[in-house]
Amino acid sequence: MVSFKEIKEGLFTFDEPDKGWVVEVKTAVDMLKAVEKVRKAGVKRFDTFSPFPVHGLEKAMGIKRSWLTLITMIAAFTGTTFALSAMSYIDLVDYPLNIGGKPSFAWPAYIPIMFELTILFASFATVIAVWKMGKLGIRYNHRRPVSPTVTCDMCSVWIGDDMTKEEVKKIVGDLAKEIHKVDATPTDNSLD
Amino acid sequence: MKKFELPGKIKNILIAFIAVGVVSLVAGFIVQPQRAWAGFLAFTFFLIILALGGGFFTALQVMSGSIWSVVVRRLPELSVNIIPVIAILLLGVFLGIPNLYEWSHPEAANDHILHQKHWYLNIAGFVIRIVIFVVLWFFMGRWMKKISLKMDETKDPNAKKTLLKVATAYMLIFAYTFLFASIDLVMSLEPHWYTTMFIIYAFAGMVFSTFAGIIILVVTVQRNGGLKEANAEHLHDLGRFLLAFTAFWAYIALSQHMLTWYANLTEETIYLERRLRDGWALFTPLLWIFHFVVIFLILLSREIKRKPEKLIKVAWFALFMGFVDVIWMVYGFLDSKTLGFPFQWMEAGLFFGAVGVAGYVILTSYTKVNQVPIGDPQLQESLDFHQTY
Repeated sequence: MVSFKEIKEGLFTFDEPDKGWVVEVKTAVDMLKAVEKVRKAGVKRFDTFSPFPVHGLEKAMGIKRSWLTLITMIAAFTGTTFALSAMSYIDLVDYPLNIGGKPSFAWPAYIPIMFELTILFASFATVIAVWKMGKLGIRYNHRRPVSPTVTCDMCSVWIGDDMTKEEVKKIVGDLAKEIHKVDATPTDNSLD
Repeated sequence: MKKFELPGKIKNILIAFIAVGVVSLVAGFIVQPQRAWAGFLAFTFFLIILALGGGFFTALQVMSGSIWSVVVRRLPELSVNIIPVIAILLLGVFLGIPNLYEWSHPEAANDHILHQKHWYLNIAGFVIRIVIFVVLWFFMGRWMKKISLKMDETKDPNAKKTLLKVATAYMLIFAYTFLFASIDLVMSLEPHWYTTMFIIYAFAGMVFSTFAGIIILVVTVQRNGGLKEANAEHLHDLGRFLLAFTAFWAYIALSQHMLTWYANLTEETIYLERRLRDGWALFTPLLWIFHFVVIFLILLSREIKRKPEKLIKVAWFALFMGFVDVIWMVYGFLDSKTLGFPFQWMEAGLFFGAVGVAGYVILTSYTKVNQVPIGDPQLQESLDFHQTY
């Protein structure tokens, strides 16, 4: 089984690119190779930027599977249990009614309610978890982009660990087209 | 490209399965002839489900232009080869009409409801309809298979367009013929019962059993050294389909039974009432729990869907529950006092028989063709298929 710490890390850690090096590469394939080298070199903080989704990137970066599905499942079962217990309470204890001579515990009639509350709980929990995990909902922040090119048309790898340009060069080798030093620390922390 | 070689061991197991089916059917006819006729009909209908399911899967994947399924398409395509066997079995069903169908008895003329339905439910009409359906299934399925096999040689990308047109025609014909075939063969066993959901219920069970069957075939072929191209990514999608259709089956079953329960009309409740007393009292809740709840909860796991050795176990169980569901649909007209528990040794033997027939026919014809549709223009994309988190 996984530890609670691992779950918490999987859920809420998120490396915000700030200071360090941006390694620009020519193609997406080069980026996959470069980020694999960076991960294998033991670099702790790194990220990638690409103008389009790249297949296999999550494996190259060593990203673990999101815990989002677990949250959805727990919320879904909570919804099912809640619907069943609430309906039983209403029909058996709070306000028993004789409807068409059917028994008070009319479980077939509860199934649509259980089904709908399952979906309602699961969808709300998922949306809220996505906002929380992805740090959405901050209307704007005062961070500068790490590098002007990464928000445009360039595949690149960001390395946040404290190292010299030579060390970065040694890791990525000739995959790098250019290596910039960047500093994008927030200018104003008031909204974080 | 190397063709698949079916190991003698698997062949012998499948022949043994067929033998078990035949022996239990013969023994059933000696011990309980009425029940054996019903079992024989369930056996035939289950084979129809598997044979049409393969064609339905092919047509669906071609029509939706889906890419992931191209690698695994060859196995379901070959399911049309079961239809000649079904044709022979249906001759047996025709012989059993007086034992199976209440509307064929001479006394039916005195029954007002059956008299009113006589224009549709009569022996001549029944036989003519079924013969037309079987001919259509066979030739349409074979047409689709032929185009796909020819594409292997010509490697003509335009053949996929022709396949799309034939698949569309197949889908339309399948929809109407399966609708009337399931009404004729299964629903008319209880001609006093009214419902609007039966056809969709039979369809949901059909697609569910089909996906279980495809998973079993793919993993079995892979274990014996074939179809190396299919990997965890493709199995994941097949497993997802199985998960989706167990939910769909439950949704349809509930739509039928909850409305029956609410409205409480005699001509509707009779169906469920019969299936909740005597030997059925335990059987029906077990069907609902194992066909839906258990399989649904197991298949929620991503790991199980991606591991062939785990997925095939779930798929075997799902195929078995698909057969139990057919038994549930067919056996209702039998006298529940003498029936006992509806799933006994004969039904178990018939399940093995059906698996043996379908497996033997599909796997032996699979050794004669290319393992994947090598002429399909979308094959490379299908091989590179990749699931994200």
